[in-house]
Amino acid sequence: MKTISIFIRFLFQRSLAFIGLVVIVVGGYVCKVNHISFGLLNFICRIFHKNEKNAYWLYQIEYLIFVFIVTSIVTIILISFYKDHKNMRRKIRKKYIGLFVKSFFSYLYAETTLMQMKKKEFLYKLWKGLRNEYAKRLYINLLRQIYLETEGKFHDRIGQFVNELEYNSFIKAYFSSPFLRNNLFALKIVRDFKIQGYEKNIINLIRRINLVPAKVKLIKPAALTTLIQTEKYSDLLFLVENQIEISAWEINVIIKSLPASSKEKIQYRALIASNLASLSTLGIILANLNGKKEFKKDLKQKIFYDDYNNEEAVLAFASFADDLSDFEFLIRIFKETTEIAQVRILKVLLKCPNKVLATDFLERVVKNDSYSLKIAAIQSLLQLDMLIILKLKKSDNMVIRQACNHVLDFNM
Amino acid sequence: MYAKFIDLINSFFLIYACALFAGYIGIAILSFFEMKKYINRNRYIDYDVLKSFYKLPSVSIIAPAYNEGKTIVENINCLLNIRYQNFEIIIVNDGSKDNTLEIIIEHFELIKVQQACDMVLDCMPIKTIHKSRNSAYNHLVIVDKENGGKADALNAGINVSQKELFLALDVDCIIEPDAILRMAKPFLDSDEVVIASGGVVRIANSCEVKNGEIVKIHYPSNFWAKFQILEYFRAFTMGRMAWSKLNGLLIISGAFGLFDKKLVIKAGGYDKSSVGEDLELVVRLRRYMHEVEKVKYKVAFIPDPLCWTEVPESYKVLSQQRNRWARGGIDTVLKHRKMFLNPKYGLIGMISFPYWFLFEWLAPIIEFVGIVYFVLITILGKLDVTVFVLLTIFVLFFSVMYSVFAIFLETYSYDKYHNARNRIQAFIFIFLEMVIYQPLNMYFSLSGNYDYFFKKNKRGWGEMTRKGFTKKYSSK
Repeated sequence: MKTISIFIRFLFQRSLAFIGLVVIVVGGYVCKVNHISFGLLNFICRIFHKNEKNAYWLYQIEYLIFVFIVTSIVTIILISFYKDHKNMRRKIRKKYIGLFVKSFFSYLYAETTLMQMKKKEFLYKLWKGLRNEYAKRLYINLLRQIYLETEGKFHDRIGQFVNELEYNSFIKAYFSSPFLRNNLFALKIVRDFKIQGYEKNIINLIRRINLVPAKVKLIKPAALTTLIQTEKYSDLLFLVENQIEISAWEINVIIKSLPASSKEKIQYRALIASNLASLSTLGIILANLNGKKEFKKDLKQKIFYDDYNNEEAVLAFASFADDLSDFEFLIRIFKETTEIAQVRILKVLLKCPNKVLATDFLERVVKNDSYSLKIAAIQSLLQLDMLIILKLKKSDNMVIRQACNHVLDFNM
Repeated sequence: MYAKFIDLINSFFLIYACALFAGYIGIAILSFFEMKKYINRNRYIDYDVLKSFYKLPSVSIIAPAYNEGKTIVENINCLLNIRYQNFEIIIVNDGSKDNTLEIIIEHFELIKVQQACDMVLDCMPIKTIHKSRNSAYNHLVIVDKENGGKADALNAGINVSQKELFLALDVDCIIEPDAILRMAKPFLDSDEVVIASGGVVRIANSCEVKNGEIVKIHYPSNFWAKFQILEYFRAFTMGRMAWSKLNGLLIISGAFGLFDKKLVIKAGGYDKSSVGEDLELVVRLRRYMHEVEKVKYKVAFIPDPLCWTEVPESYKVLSQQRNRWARGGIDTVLKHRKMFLNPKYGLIGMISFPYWFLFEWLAPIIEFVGIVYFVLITILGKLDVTVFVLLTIFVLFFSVMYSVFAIFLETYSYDKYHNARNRIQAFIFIFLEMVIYQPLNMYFSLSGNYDYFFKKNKRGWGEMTRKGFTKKYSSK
C-alpha cells in the first residue's frame, strides 16, 4: 500500500506537468482568441479584430501573448507559494523536532527501569501514531543522529529501541520507491543502524538503478558503502561476482568506508584479476594501502598487460620494492609509465640496495628528462650523493642549474 | 517587385525572431530539468568527504593581479580560506604599476625563491617568484612578471603551477570555501574525460564581506548592478545550465573556471591576442578534443553559486566591459570559423557554435538593422500598425516571462535573496530593463563590433574600478 501511494505521488507531479503542456498546445489550435472577452486580451481584440483580413498567424501571436501573461502570473504565484511552503515546512519541522527531541531525551534520561519502560512505550505510540511521512522521516533521522553522536548507554538504548520499532514496511517501501531521496534515506538508515537483512534489497536496488543512468551516480556509492559495512560483503567479492563497474568516485568512497576489520578479508587477488578495469584498480589500491606485498607478481602482470591500471600498479609495486631485482624492473619500465608513477619510482630509488645503479639512473634522468622529473631525481640524489648535485649545479645546461637551485633552495 | 522585397525582409525578421524565441524556450525547459536533477542529486552529498579521498586531483589556483593594491590582501585571505586537500595559490602580479607586490611581500612575509618552472606556454618574462616564510601561508606562491595582459599572466601561472588541474580566477572574486571540492567532483565521477568545469558567478555588489567570506547577501543597491543581476540569473542559472545539459557549453567564466592543465598545455594555453580569452580557450579545447584526442569528453557546469564578483557600477565601466565582451566573441568566432556547421565537431559545430554566431554576435546587429528598417518603412508609410503593436507586445511579454522564470529558478534552487522587497525590485527592473538596459546593451555590442573591425585597438581592456569589499562596508 505504502509503495503504491509513493508511486501515485511520483506520477501525479509528472502528469500535472504533461496536462499543462497539452492544454497550452491544444489551446493554440482551438482557442479563437477574438471570442475571449476579458482583460487585456479583450482590449487587444477590440483593437485588432476590427479588420478581419488579418493574417491567421496574428491570432496565434495573440494566443501566445495570452500564454506568456498567464505563465508569468503563474510563475510569480509559484515563487510566492514556494517561499511560503518553505517557511511553513520550516515551522512544521521545528515543531516536530521539538516534540521528538523532548521525548527521546526523556527516554534516555529516565532514571528507573519503570520510567524507561513508560517513556519507551510513549515513543513507540508516537511512531505508530505518525501519519505524516515527513514526520516519520524526521523521527527516524533524529534517532539516527543521536545514535551516531552518542556512545555507551545512550547509544545502546537508541539502538535497542530502533530494533524494536516496526520499520520493516517503511524501509522496504523506501527501497522500491522511484524517488531518489527515499532510496537514499533507506540506505542511510540501514547503514548507520547497521541493520542486517536488507542486503538483497540493496543488491536489487543497484541492479535496478543501473538501468537509470541519471540515478546511478548518487545511489550506487551509498548502496556500496552500506553493503560493505556488513560482515558478509566486506570482502568485496560481490563486486566481482556481480560484475559491478565502479567509478573513480566510488573507488574513493569504498576505500574510505571499508571497516578496519575487513583488511584481511578482502579478496585482493580476485579484485586485481577482475576483467573490469575499475575493480582491478580498487584491488591494486587496497593492496598498496594495506601493504599486501604478496601480490607483487600480480602487480607485475598488470604493469605489462593492463594499460588502464599501469600507473596504480607501478605505484603499488614501487611501494613494495625491496630487493635489487625489483628496482631493476622499475628502472626498466620507467619510460613506459605515467609521470606520476615515474616521480614515485625516482623517490623509491632511495631504498635501492645498489647505490651506483640508482645514482647513475637518477643522473641520467636529470640530464635527459622533463622538468618535474629532473626535480624529483635531484631530490633523491640530494640524499644519495651530494657531490653529484654539486657537479650538476655547475652544468652548462641552464635548465639543470635551475632545477638544482630549486631543490637546494631552503625556502622552497 | 518592391512589395516582394518588403515581404522578403519581413519574412527574414520573422524567421530569425521565431528561431531566437524557440531557442530561449528550449533553454528555459532544459535548464529547469537540469537544475531539478542537480538539486535532487546534490542535496545529499557531503562535499567535505572529498577532502579525505585517496585520489583527489591536485589544484593550482591561478589569479592574475594588476594594480590591485587596494584589495589584494583581502583577496588573498579569501583564497586562503579554501577547503581542499592538495592545492596551491599562485598570484601572478602582471607588472602592476601600483604597490601590489610590495603590499603582498610585507603582509605575507614573502621571500624570493629559486623555483624552477617549465616555460611550456609563451608568456612575458617572469622576474621573481616568492614564497612565504610563515608556514600558515605555505600554499601561497607569488609570481612577479612583466606586464602582458590577463591571458599572458594566466599562461605564466600555468608554467609555474605544479598541480594537475588549475583554477583560473579573477583575484578580486570571493569564492566559497568548498568551491573547489564541488568543482573537482565531475573530474572524479564522470564517465567521460572532463576537460573543464565551470561554476556560477554571482554579484557581490552591496554584499557584506568579513575575513574574505560573504557574511550577508544583499540585493545590489546600484542602478546598473540591479540590471546585471537579472542578466546573471538568465545567463548562469538558465543559459549555461541548459547548454551544459547538451554538453554544448562554449564558455566558462574567465572569473572562475577549473581546467585540466595537461590538456590546456597541449591545446596551446591562453590566446594572448584575444580579449575574450575565456571563451576562446574553451572553444579551442573543444576543437582540440575533436581534432586530436578524439575521445568522449565534456565541459561540466556546477550551478551552485560558488563565486562572487563585483560588477560595473558606472555607465562608463559597463560600456567598456560589454564592448570587450563583444570583441572577444567576434574574435573567437572568426578564429574558429572552421567549426561553423561542421559535422566533424558534433553538437558544438552544428548547434552551439552557430547559436553563438547567430544569436550572440549577430543579434544586436540584426536588432539595429530592424530599428533602421522600422524607421524607414514608417517614413515611407508602409508600416502595418496592427502587426507592429502586436509583435511589440509579444516581445515584451515574452521577455517578462523569461526573466520571471529566471527569478523562479533562482528561488527554487538557491534562494540567495530572501527578502520580498528584493523580488519586487527585480520584477520592476524586468520592465525597466527593456527600455533602458537592452537598448544600451545593443549599443555597447555595436560599438564593440565597430571597434573590432574599424579601429586598431582590438585588444584594449578598458578599466574596471574596484571599490573593495571590506573598505566599503567596514563603516556599517
